[in-house]
Amino acid sequence: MTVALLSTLLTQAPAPAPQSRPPQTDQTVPAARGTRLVIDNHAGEVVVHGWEKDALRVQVRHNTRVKINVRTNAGTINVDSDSSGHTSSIDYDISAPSWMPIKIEGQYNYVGIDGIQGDISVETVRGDVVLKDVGSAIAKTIEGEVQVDGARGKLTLSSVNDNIKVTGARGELIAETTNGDLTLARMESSGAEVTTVNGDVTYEGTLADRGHYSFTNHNGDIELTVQDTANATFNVRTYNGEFSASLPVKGPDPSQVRKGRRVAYTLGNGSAEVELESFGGDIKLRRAGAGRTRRDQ
Amino acid sequence: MTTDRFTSQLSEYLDAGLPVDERQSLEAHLASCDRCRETLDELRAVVTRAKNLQDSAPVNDLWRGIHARIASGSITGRVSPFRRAITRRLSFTIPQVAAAGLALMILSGGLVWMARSGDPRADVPAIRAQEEPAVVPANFADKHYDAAIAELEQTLDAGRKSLDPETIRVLEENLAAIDRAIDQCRLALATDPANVYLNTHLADARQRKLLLLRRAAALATKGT
Repeated sequence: MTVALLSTLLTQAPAPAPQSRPPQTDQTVPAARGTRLVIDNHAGEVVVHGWEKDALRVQVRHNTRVKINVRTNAGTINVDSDSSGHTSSIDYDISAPSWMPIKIEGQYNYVGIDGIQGDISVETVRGDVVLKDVGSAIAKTIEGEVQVDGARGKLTLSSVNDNIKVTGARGELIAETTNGDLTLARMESSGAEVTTVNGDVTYEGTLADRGHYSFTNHNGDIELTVQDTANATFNVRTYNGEFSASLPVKGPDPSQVRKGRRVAYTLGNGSAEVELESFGGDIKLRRAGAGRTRRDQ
Repeated sequence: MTTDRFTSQLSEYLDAGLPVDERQSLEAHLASCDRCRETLDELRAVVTRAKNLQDSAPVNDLWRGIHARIASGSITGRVSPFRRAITRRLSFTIPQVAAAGLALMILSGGLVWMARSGDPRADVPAIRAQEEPAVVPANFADKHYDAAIAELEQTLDAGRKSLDPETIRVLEENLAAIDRAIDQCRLALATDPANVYLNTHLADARQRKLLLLRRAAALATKGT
């Protein structure tokens, strides 16, 4: 398979305009409660919208030589294609029951999922993954950004060469990238484990009592913004960076945070455990609602 | 979760009680998991110490006194329903002994800490910078780790043609970024070898490299 050629074609091809032409395939099948959806698409776009019907509608834009398969078997609906050796971009627009667990796999895919509360699993090599109003999700990409806006369950998010952005998540969060920023806003997570090698880490939201949170990186700053009514113990380490806090934390002078020395600061009754570690970056604790100083910026 | 499963098999592994397939699976895992190898080494050390313990005679022979009291009639015979339970032989597995030892260490450490500083949650005192415990510097020449890395690099190299060159480039750039982080850590450790943070950070970076290589190798294998 000429992956390089396909990659070039995908890169050079104009962005698809899904609304400009009718789908070549438009198929609806019943979906009994508990059925899961598995989509295998080598390259293209997979967009899934949740709806309240117990049925699956599959609309696909594709080359005429491609055949789309929608097969129900033992509690699973499998959607894939038979391209007879032709590699071309296939764009799926799927309406699925909001309760439906969904698994999407492929190599060069943009994946967008909206309004699905069943467990989601997405894996792609190149392409962004965008999730909105979902339950629990696992999303992995290598060359692409992961974005989540609104999640009630556990999130396990991974990229390698891009950013991860999460807003409005309530469940536990595990997020990891190598070369990218981790931006977490309006968070109500019960716990978080967030790490990058090269990139900034920012978290804005609440810290649950007795929750465990870990924010680590090698290069880049770590900034945590929480209400001053939070109860947390912040364990701070930075090797080459500095520590500053605009929260009313109790602890030693920030100058004692140096050369990887572990220093603890408490806020309120110190209930939540928060690890903040950076090799080369600064660590900042900010009070929610407080303006940024020139130095912060 | 996987590591927990393997950890629970270590005792049986030491006793040569694992089925062949589970033993092979565990050995493959041990080749790449520092934590499990350390646990295994600790278990081995416990076993070695236990084997070296020698039976010793009691310092005082109490039998003469007991015999004299029985003969004098000061002790009357009595049947106790719990006697059997009390005289039962107690035996513990190695993990139980290790867990008990660990629990005792944590308990005694906690008591000392509370006695010295009081409960921090009660009145939220200012917390002082903590003294780092003694640390054994990381072992840079870990042959298991190096072997695992070399094997994965070979797998990635063999499957290189099946991956998009751009993806290969991105993966290599990111592996290089991790290598730079490892190098910076090692450089810092050269002047500060007992630094706890540097040692754990280095271990994390090495683990991260292993995981990324595994992912890349899996991709390459999948594509062939």
